[in-house]
Amino acid sequence: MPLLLRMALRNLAEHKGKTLIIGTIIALGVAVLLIGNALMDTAALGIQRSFIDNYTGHIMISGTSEGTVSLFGVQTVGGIDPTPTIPEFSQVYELAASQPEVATLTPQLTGFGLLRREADESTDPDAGQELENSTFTLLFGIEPETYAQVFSNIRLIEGTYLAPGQLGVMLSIERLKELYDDYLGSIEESKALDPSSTQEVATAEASTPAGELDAGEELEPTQEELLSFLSVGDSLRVLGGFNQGLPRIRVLPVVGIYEQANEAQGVGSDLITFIDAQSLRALLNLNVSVQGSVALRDEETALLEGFAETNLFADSLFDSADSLFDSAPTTMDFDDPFGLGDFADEQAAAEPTDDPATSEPLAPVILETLDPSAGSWHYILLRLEDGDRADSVIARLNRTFEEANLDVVAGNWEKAAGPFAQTADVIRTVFNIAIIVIGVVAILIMMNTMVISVIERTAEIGTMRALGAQQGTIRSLFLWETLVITTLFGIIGMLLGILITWIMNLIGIPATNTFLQVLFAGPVLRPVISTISLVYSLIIVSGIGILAHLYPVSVAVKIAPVRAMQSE
Amino acid sequence: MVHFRNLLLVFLLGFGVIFPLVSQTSTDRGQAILTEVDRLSNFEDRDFSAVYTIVSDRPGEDQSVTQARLFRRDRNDQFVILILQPQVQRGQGYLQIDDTVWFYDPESRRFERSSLRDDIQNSDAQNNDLNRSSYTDDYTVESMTEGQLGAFPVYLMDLAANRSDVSYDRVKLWVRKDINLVLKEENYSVNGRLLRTILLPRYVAFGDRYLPTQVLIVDEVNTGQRTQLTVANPSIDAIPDVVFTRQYLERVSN
Repeated sequence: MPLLLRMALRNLAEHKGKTLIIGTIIALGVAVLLIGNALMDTAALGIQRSFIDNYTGHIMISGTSEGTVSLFGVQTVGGIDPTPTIPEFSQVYELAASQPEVATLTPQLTGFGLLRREADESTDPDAGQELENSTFTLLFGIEPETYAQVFSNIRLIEGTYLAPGQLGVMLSIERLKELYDDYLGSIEESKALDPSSTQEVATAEASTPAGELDAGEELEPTQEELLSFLSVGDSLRVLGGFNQGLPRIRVLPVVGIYEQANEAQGVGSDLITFIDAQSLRALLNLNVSVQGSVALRDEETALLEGFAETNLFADSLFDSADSLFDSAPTTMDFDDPFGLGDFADEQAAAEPTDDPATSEPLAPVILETLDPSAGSWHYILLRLEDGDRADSVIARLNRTFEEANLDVVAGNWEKAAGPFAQTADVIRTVFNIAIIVIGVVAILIMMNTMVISVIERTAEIGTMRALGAQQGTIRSLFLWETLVITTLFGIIGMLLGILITWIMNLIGIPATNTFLQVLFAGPVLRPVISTISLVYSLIIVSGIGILAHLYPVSVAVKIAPVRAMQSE
Repeated sequence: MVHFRNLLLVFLLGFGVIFPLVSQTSTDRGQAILTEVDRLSNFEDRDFSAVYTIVSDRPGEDQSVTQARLFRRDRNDQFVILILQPQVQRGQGYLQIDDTVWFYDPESRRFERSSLRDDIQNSDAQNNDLNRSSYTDDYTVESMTEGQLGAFPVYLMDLAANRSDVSYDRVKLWVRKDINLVLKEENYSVNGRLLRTILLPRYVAFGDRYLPTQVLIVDEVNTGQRTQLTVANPSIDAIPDVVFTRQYLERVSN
């Protein structure tokens, strides 16, 4: 063992008090760093996995905007802007699909909406109050077939997945609970505003499964109660398009009620309602009628093809009236202006009757199935065979879009997750700032303790200098002391951190509110320490130790040999 | 010298007096032609109905298609536009009663106030484009010249709005000379910016009344944006009174 190391160990043993103070600071620092990093890393990985697997895929392609485009809309300084649709959608979709790394892809639309159970005006005291007592939701307009291939984020409790072309919504059990709570809230308000309406309200309450409950009681409704309040086949009133003129309304059947798959919980997913893309387009005032959905005759698009103006007026202007009829002119049926004919009669025949035994739910409305790669869409979400290649695929896609003069941009899951990923980033930054502050404080305490130690050892250092020890020897002695103390207590701190993290992992830290759920990317956080985190903590603590010993050493090396004789 | 001065005086007097007279005559004639334009394209003594297919091209987007059934009773300034396609908007409708245009959405079962200037279902076509022609009510002829458009000799008329609630402050019309039909129209803003160009290359005759059967509306502000309107199944048969009521829209749409 080198002489200086032996001297360092002896000094540390002799000054037990100070060694323990410095050592404890180091050990606690390492433990805090380790636990903090484990929490942050686990949460970050959880958020990443959760978003990629359930909502964003590895890559999101969107139109461009002045604000930040994420899967949850466009954030600007002034609030939320309308999300840009993807121009030349078919071309962009094909370009994305042709990338060899792409496993699956799906288009998506996003909008904000308000939900209300389609009211029976005879019993609902709140019927007609469109905006009040409605339940907020984030609407994801999907193409069901490809969406289900890319994400498996829901488990159906009742009903089915949306079918391609089917009009309707898939509602989460959390939204259903909110709808139920808002409904009970509206009953309470009616009671308060108009006590004379108690009779009607009582009828309304009795018509709900929890009618026997006092609405004021804070009892969690059971799943059965919720499903009796609103279940598959019932109609839901969806309002949307608030920032694009008049709010629009669609009344849509509930196709499925779902709970989130475990791994999809906690990233704001309880706010989401899945809706067919056509209905969301109608709500957002987007192009709802794409080529192919309505059969067109050649002359109905002839003028759009391009022409010379003079040629347009080159000959006779007149059509014969007969040529303007698809078939022989028939007498207009004013009761059936849509020309639905037998279909309208069938629907009328299928109207529910008062007799519940003969009342059959109407067949689902299925639109003519559209090509999923056509129509107005806000996003294309891509899942790759190998997620690690996302950055290179994004760079290639953006180059390709630029060369093709397409005003679209590809981004990673963090861009897609937008505010949610940013929240995690902010917390991480705050944690890192806290670590820096703690580090500075630790340096100051260690430095102070070591300076005191140097002063106490003035005679000893002076004697060593008198015996011929060079400044370098004194410097090395203190460096050894620092390294020994850092290593020893660093390892103790590591063991402590590992132990606490292991206990946390075993117990699980519950997310008690939505914010923590977002941060934890789930209802419970089970932190895991990574090797990188271990090395990182040791480097940080060693750095702090070395920085802290610099000033005391400079004091020590200035001690002249004569000081040995002056003391005592 | 005196002789020259007299000549100049006569010339200036002639220019100052005769030119305004000629100009006045020209605009009067223009106003008469405009009246004829309105007369030829309105069905004052009959009802009119047809199916319009409205196809819009927007840069970077797929074509959007709307089909609407139009019922018009020009003598009472009434119309109903009922959306037939796309399916998700079927049953939505516009109804003009007196001077008010209402928009009806069967999903909300509510009537919202709309306007003749509102676009039909996000296309470049406005409610006004399907309504009766009312140039004489809304505009005054400022000037008129003669010209040629393709194979047709035309009057080229500059119109200025005489009321504030019209869609465009200035309008330029190319009106066929032999039968006074509008072949081309340009719409300008108050500061003279060209906003829309409308081409009307096909018409159908109902006796002495005419209806454009193909119309192209070019958005001059958003380059590449254009809409074609095509008429099918036109009819001048009588329409029941009930059609021009709110109850009708509610009944047939729900």
